[in-house]
Amino acid sequence: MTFADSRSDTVPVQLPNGAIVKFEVTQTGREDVSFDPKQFQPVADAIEGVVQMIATPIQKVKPKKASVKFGMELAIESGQLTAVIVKGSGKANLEITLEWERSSQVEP
Amino acid sequence: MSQLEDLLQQCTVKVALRSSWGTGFFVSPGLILTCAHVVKSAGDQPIPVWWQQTELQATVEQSIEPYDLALLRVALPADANPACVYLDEDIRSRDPLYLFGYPDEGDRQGEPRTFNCDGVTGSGAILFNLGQVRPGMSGSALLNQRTGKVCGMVKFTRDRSIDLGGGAIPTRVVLEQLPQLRDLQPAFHQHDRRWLHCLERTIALAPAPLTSDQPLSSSDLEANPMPPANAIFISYRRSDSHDVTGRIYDRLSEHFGRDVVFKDVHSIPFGVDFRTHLNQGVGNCLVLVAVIGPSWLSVQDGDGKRRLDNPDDWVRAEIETALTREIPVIPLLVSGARLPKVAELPEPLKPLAYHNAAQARPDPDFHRDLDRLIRRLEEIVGSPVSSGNLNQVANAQSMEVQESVKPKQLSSSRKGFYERQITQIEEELATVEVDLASAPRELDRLRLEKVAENLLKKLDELKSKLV
Repeated sequence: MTFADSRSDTVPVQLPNGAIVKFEVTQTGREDVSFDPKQFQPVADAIEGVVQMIATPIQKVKPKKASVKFGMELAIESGQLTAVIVKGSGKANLEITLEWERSSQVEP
Repeated sequence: MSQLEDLLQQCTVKVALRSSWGTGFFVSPGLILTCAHVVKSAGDQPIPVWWQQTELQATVEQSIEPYDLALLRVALPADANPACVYLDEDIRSRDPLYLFGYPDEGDRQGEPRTFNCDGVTGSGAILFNLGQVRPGMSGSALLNQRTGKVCGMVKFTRDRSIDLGGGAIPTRVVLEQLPQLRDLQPAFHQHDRRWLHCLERTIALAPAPLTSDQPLSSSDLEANPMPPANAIFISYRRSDSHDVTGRIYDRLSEHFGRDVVFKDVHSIPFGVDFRTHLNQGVGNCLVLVAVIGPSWLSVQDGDGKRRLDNPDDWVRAEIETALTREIPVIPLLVSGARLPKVAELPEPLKPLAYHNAAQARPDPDFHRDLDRLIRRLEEIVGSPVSSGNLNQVANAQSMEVQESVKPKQLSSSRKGFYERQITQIEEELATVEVDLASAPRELDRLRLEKVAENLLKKLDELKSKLV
């Protein structure tokens, strides 16, 4: 259960290039408590997986034009940064829009 | 408890890797315990450890990942002498817990937290609540403030943002997985008494005992004093009053209980030195009843000398011991004997002539006389809680006396508790004095003197409670 004004916490996240960014997360829960910056990789993997999952049926159907938008919220689960797909965009950390357009030139 | 908290801080280190950190604590000189997940990213690299604003280098000596335990070996500078925690398995629900760790928010020099113990989970972890566990606190020693010892090591939080508490690896698991600590721990604490000093100080100053292993209710303490074991010592001359003393003993032990009344042959364990036992018996009693029969004064030994004039005479030794230690003595005249006159007594026993004597005449007066004696004894040793129907008359009669002259006396269990502490402290004091004589450095001597001073103060405190 999440309320509009639910509490949140910022956690440092280490990016692949070594830079550290703080992300706001809503849920942390049970986690080991050594202090270490979270790795972004699990979220990157999740985005990749979600995009592939959405792309596969669209490429099958080959519509003239398609667009899919989804929001991702970040949470800590078992000490790992995790992506949560959320309704609406109000509380999403990341908003991703995917667009397909069939170009008529390429089509035979 | 704050001294113990201070000491716990001195045992605590910050295990600081390049971009992550946790907490750890000394379990033995040169050995630090922390969580395996704290040092996981270090690999084979040396691990910087901060102790008392000093950076030390540590290496992982042993890492047991399934149990999240890591033992670090640290190189200590020659003058460093870190205290080590006292590990103990005892943990119960609702125990008050305390930790000192290095959270990511707040004071960079470390922060304390207190918790309330929920109990132990199905797989054996300690759960606790009512305190916020922040990242960075992994590997903190969890001090059980009931026992004054460390019952576990913090591992996880239940929510980093609020005071939902967290969980810890219990000391039981630590000792199972790192069995060498079972030997290292006692070896350290035998030699370095800092933790035990704090612990005993805490217990000695506590208004009630910390552990419920010694349940003492307030009523146990003062309201209704129970006669302690061997409180009544019966001294008698076998040839003079053997039979009647047996009757008196039976009557008194029926009223007060067998363990309260001491009469040589009945109470001396077989094989124990008679003399030592008598001395201890007299030394520990609260009142000595000297049974005096018609021949008590005049019995002679084989050489025709009066037994009472021989300093080795048991009866004389017993009474003399009681008089010197200012233990109340009640001369009990039996079989028509009279109280000896001053001139008839050897020098050390002369005060006996001024004591207020009781008597135990033959039947039909015997029981009435004994009731009177019992009332006098109760004034000194306290009255038994329940003593059967036979004694209710006597109790009823003694009510007024008890109410007007109610001795303020410690219960036997409380007394025993203090006495055990006194013995412990005296032993410790002896160790400290030996250390003091051999301490090479002025600093150590000053510290030891301070320790000795504290011990003496505590000893005085305890002794004054016993008076």
